[in-house]
Amino acid sequence: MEVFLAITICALLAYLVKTFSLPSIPLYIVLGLILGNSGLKILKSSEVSDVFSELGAVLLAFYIGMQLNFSTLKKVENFYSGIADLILNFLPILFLTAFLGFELKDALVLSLAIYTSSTIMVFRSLVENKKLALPESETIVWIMVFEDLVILILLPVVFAFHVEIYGIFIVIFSTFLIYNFSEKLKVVKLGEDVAALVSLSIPAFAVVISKVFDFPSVLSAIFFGFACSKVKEIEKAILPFKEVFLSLFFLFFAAKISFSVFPDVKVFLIILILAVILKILAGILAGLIVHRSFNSGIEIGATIVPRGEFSILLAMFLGNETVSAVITLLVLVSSILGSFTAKYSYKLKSISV
Amino acid sequence: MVRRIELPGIGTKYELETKKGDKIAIVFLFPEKVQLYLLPKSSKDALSVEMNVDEARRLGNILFGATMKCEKERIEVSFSEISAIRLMLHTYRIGKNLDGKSIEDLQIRKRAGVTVIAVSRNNEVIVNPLPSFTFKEGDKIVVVGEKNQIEQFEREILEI
Repeated sequence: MEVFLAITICALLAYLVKTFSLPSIPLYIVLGLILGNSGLKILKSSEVSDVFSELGAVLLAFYIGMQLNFSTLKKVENFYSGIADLILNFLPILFLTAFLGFELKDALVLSLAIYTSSTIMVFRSLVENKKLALPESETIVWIMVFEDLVILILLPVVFAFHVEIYGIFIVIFSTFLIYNFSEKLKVVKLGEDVAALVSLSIPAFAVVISKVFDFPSVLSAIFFGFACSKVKEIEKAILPFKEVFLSLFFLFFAAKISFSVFPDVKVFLIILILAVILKILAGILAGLIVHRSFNSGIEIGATIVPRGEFSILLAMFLGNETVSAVITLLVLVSSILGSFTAKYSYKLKSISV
Repeated sequence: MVRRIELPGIGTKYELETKKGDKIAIVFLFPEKVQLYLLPKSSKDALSVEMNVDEARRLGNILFGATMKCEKERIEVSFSEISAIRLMLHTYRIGKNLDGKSIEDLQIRKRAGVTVIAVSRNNEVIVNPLPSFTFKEGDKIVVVGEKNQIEQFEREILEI
C-alpha cells in the first residue's frame, strides 16, 4: 500500500515542481519527513518500499556513472579549482566532525557527503536561471566533474569497510565486459520497449552482482554506468525510470529518518554554517584562479551551495541513524538556501562590490 | 568563430562572437531543449529564451539564408551554390474531395509538376509515398515544387 501511496504523492509533487519551477529534492525530503517516522507516521517503510528505494539509488548511481567525463579536466585551471573545492570542503569538515566526537568512519561519510554538491540541483539552477552563457557556468560544470572524479576514487575507500577483495575483481571484470559490449549494442534498433528493458537490465545486473558477491550495489552501478557512458540511447531510455524511482528513493529515505538520535542542535548548526561558508569560499577561490575575478567567484560559490542526491546516497548506504539524520537535514537546508543564493547571486555580487 | 564547449551532464554549448562584438550562445540541453542567449556588447546581462526542438528548427530555417521566406506552413529554399533552384515546401490537409484517391489516380506530378514527399496520418509519417498510396481525409501532406507548380497544384488538384 505504502508504495502506491508514495507513487501518488510523487506524481502530485512532480506536477507541482514542473508547474511552479520548484526545486524537487527538498520538496521530496520535506514531505518524506512530514509523512514518515519523524512526523505523521503515515508512510512506513516495508520490504517492498526498500526495494523501490534501492532501485532509485542504483539508477541514480548508474546515471552518475554515465555522466562521468574527465576530458574537460585537462585544463590546469579547472584542475586547481577542483582541488581548492576538495581541500576547502572535505578536510575541515573531516577534522571538525572528528573533533566533535564522531567516529572516523562516520566523520569520513559526513565529510564526503558535505563535500559533494548536488549535480542535479546545480545543473538545474544553471538551466532554470538561464546562466549557461556565463563563462562561470563552465567552471561550475568542471567543479562538478572534478567532484565526480573524487567520488570515484574515495568511494571505494569509504566502502572498504564493507568490501571483499574478490568482489572488486568481479565488478572490474564485468565493467570491462559491459564497456566492450555496450558500444556494439544497438538498442535504438530494438524499439523503445525492448531498448528500455535492455538498458534497465544493466543497473539491475549491478544489483545481482552485488547480492551474489556481497558488494555495494551503488558502487557497481557507478562503474557499470561509466562503462555505458558512450551509448546515448541507454541514457535516454533510462531517464524516465530514473526520475520515477529517484523521487521514491528521496521520499522513502526521508520517511525513515528519525530525529530521536539527532545530535545537539548547536553541533548541527556549526556543521551547516561551515558547509555553506566553505562552499562559497571554494567558489571565490575558483573564480580567482580561473577568471581572475572575485565576482565570478561569488557567482560560482553561490551556485554550488546545494548538497543533494549523492549525500543522501552516502547516508543510505553508509550512514548510521545519527549521520543519516544530520545529512538529510543538511541537504534540506543547503538545497533550499542554495536555490536562493543561485537565483539571487547578482545581489550577493552587488553587496560584495 | 564558433567555440564548442561540452558541458557534461547538461549538453553542448556553441558560442559565436559577431564582428561587432555581440555574443550569441546556443545550448543544446539533453534530451530535447535548446536555450538561446544573446549578449549585446553594450549590455552586461544576457537575454535568453528556451525552445523545444521544433521551435529551434524553425528558427534555424529562418536563419538558414536571407533568401528563404517562411510563412505559416510554407518554406522557400534557395541554395547559394545553385542559385537558379528555388524550391518551395508546402503543407496541406487532405479534404473530403480527395478522400480515397491515390497519387497515381490524381496524376499529381503530371498535372501540377509537384511531388508529394511526405504524408502524416494519425501521427505516423510516411516519407516518399508510392504512387499507389491512397489519401484519406485529414492526412497532412508535404509537397515540393517551384512556386508556380505549387499554385497549379492548389488550383488543379486541391481545387482551392
